[in-house]
Amino acid sequence: MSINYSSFLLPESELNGIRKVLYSPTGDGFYVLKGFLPENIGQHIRRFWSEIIDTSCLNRSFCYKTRNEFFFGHPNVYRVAKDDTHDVKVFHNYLWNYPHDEVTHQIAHMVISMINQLERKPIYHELHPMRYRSDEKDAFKGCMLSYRVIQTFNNATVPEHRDFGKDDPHNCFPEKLNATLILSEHGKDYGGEGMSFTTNAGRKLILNKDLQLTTGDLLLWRYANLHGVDGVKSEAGQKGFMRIIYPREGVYDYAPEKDKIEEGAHVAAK
Amino acid sequence: MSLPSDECLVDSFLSEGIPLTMESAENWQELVNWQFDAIKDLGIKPEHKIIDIGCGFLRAGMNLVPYLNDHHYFGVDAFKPYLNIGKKLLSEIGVSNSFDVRFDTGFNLDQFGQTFDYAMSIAVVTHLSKKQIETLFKQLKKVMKPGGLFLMTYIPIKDCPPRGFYFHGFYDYPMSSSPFCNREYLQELASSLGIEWVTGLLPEESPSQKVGVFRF
Repeated sequence: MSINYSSFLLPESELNGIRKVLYSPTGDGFYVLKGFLPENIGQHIRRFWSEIIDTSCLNRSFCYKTRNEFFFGHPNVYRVAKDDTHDVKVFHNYLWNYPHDEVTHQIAHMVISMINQLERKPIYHELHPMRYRSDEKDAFKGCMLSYRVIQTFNNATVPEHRDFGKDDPHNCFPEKLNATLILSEHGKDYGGEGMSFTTNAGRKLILNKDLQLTTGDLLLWRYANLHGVDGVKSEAGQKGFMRIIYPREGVYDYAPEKDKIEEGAHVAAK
Repeated sequence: MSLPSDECLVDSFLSEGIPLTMESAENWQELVNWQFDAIKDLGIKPEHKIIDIGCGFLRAGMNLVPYLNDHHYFGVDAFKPYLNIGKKLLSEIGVSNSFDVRFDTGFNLDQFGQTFDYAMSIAVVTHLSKKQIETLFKQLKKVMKPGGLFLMTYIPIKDCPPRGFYFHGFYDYPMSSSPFCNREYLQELASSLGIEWVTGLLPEESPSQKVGVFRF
């Protein structure tokens, strides 16, 4: 029997090669795991979130006006925006909820635990929310990682920005990573642009397009680097730019009052 | 002697699998300079010998190794990757003086076969149990010259319980924080061993922690 404590850890020799690309001042700040998912798994996830799920019975309301401000037990939320500047569907999923799709949910755990290991955090760090300690009032101590399925058909601008960088000293965690699990292919499922990203050395790329990413590829990237989404174009019947991201969310140790739930209801149900 | 660049620091950490970032590296030189200034204010001269307990990646060594005579800087640390980073950084900036730093988890300070004029322990005792702090002071008593000075920093008592964690996420380096350590406790412990808490030699605050100075 060779299973022991270390069996749960990814090989350090491989992780370290990836870390150098992500963090070195001369590195790219992103790393692609081509074919991270086997084809049948990737196709299952793509099909589930674009065809199988019944959006008519999903919760469409955030319980707070402020995005990224959740309480333990917040329900999953489905959001759709279709107007002159947005044409996007988003499924916000939290790890404490019974999953819509077990496959996506389990893979989220795997991706997040890999991110943790790359960041040199313990493997299960922030996988699940934890109550604050009495001496730690900082909201982001209660962070957990979630997964968000996004299907962008047209435009849906996410302006270029940084997360957890030094311009936000109270939430400066420059080692933080995010990941994008690609579920569609540029040139086939959509055209135009997509996810812009500026490397550690300052070079701007449109990652989904320039790297020819396709369903099942996993893109790891530094949160603190400039990034955004813009200029996606697709025709009726196309899947659009479809992906899953794994954002860090602030989690609060209380449930909202009823009026706050109603107040926030308009945010999502556009 | 110039310090390693931030880029060099980041890459040296990455070579040991620790994802330091440029943003995090920006302020490290402040602490490097504080450590050197503080020990110089206590009177260290090139002919003196110092033991650096929890020497880490040789933050103090960056200035002290080239300042002191050959083989006058000694250190121990319980985290091997830091020792490797420190040696690499000193080599990068072209330090040729010899020094002796070793992996050690038990404060075996007599392993060097030396007696010391100075000792320092920066941001270490907060991670020690009471028993370990007692061991540290007892071991220092064995190797410090009469009149020798020990500079340490600590985080004073807070209303929170001890916490265990993996250091830098390394699964073979479990650590803990035991923030019970305060001035009264340290003074009492030192006094019981015939060691004097000295005031007035340095400001009582470092950039991040409280400062204690002891005379043997």
